[in-house]
Amino acid sequence: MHILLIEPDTVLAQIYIQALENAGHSISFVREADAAIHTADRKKPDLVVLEMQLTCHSGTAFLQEFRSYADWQDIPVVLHTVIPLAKLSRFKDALQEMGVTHQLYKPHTTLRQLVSVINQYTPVST
Amino acid sequence: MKQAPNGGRQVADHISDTQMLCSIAEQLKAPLMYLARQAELAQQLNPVESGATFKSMQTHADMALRLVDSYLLGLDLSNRQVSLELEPVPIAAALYDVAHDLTPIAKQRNTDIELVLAGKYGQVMAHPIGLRAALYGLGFVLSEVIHPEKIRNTLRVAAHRTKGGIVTGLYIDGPADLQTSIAASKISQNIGMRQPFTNLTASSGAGVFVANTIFDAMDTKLRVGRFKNQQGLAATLQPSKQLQLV
Repeated sequence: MHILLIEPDTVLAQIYIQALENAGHSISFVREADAAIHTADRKKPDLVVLEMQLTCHSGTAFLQEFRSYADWQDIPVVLHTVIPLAKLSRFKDALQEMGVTHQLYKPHTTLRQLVSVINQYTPVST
Repeated sequence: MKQAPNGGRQVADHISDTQMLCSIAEQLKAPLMYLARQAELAQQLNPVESGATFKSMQTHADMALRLVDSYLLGLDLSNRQVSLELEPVPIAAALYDVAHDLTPIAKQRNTDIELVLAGKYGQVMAHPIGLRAALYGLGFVLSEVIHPEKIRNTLRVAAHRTKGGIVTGLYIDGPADLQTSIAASKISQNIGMRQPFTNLTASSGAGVFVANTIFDAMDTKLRVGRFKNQQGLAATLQPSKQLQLV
């Protein structure tokens, strides 16, 4: 499965990339929302792993832009964020509407748990 | 009249101190995540060589991440920035989660975890994240003060019914000085000292302080308790009156 990893922290990103590649996935990695849109257009990911706290544009801005394109309506988005889930729960409905399928609190999520969540998805057929 | 500026400055100083502590705690998360996830990755890449060392590193870094979050919640509450709204929480599931969270650190300290539910309970009124953070913090405290000479120890995560409500806490065998631990925390809280007793580590006092603050915010009190010849730290929670389908 091809994954678009949007992660502002390059140290963590390298760790996640290695763990996900070990699990048999291929990764496109970007640090910012703008680059994520361009990369999604070029690489056609099967799944997006998104940190909400990004520099420049936020994860929410990325989601709004991403879901505005007809081709990307069905691509699952997994939130993997440093924002506590209790704070996100206020926006539960809005996140669901924007197609967020899983929310993971990054400081408490192991690599094994991240891979296990991602492995629940099957590649989008083209 | 003259006290107002000083009082105002004290409040401002307190808020400033709390904000600084919150910022420090937030910043600590990133290096702890590097440590935890790199150690986990190292185990996956090389499970035979140095596996135990990396496992230990991961366990302690993950534990530190949970404690940092507990401390942040405690700091927020002590600064009255967050109020805890109580809601019906299934107590068995909550205790199971706490036992699960504590298992890696217990293993590192030759301690077995037992989940004891003395009766069939439904839901209690609590704040789910606060309850989990408080009980996790207490588990860490008890794992630090647990009887050091015993080869094998048991930490019990338990709930039992009393006239006052559902007593929920963690218990250990042995003569751990829990009363002192709570007193230390209360003194630290009142006079601003970090840890006045030398026989306890600073982290124990902080863990009790956090649990104490969270339980206060849930309208209950942390206290030393006894359960089946064991001593521990517990709080009494009220059963939810919400009807449940069985």
